[in-house]
Amino acid sequence: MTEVEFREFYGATAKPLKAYLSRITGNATLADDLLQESYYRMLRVDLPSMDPSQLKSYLYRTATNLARDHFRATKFQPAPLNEATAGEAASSDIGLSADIQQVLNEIKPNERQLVWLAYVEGASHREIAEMTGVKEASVRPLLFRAKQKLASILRERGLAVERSAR
Amino acid sequence: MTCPREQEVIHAVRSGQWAEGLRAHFAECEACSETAMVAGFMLQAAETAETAAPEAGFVWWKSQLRARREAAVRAEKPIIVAERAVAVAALLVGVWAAAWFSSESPALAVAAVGGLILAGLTAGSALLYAWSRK
Ligand SMILES: [Zn+2]
Repeated sequence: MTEVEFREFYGATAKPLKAYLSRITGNATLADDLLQESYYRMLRVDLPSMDPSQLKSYLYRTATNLARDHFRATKFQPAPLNEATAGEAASSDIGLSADIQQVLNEIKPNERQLVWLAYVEGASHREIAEMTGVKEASVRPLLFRAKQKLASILRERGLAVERSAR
Repeated sequence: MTCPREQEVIHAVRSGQWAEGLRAHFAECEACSETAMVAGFMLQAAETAETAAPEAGFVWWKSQLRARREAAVRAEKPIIVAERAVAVAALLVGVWAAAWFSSESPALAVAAVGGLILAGLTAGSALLYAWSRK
């Protein structure tokens, strides 16, 4: 990959990947490290020619594996919430961002990955399988369970977001 | 509970565009309403997430630097292995020579061991000097 190609690909993927890693790890600093490591690993291997969506899949898979290794090594302890976690959000949004992270921390890291890829990235089950290394047939039941868990937490906390068709 | 139209609902929540038929279905379907609630929450999580990433040029430069450093370490490995192999071989030859000389004459053995120590010290200091310059 040339520097020009890298800059273009990075421009299109870095912010969404940073958001993904920040939310699944709950730690913006760790997310930065994992992000840089993911791009480094992508650049290091001699990849066959891929279109941008395949390359994005490869990048997310690398990032997901790195996050998983981190969770295994640390027996995942959600990071304390701070301003860095809330990121660029305006100060009035920091509380909201922290509340959201607390809800996300109540489900398992692999469940966070699945719901993020399905609902934020709009990935199909096949794409989710590619990005996470989970078998395609397992994505549906795992995603269903994660969705139900999250829905029940949202109801309990009265945090159900109104973004409906009404 | 699941519904075959959930994927359409996710798409509608993400785009904010609801087809009339889907809107009517959504009002009746519990699975789709749960999906929309979770999708809405996740989108809010994305909108309020930390997205500041390092500059592309910085990441590229750091990657190049690290790749070069790792390549240099890989290139040095065979040299270090060869140096150790030579040291072990010299030691074995020395032990064998000392044993042979001592069977011939004690004076020769003393001279051989003295020579070995001298050769060892010279080789050791040469290696230390070479390593210190790396
Ligand atoms: Zn439905």
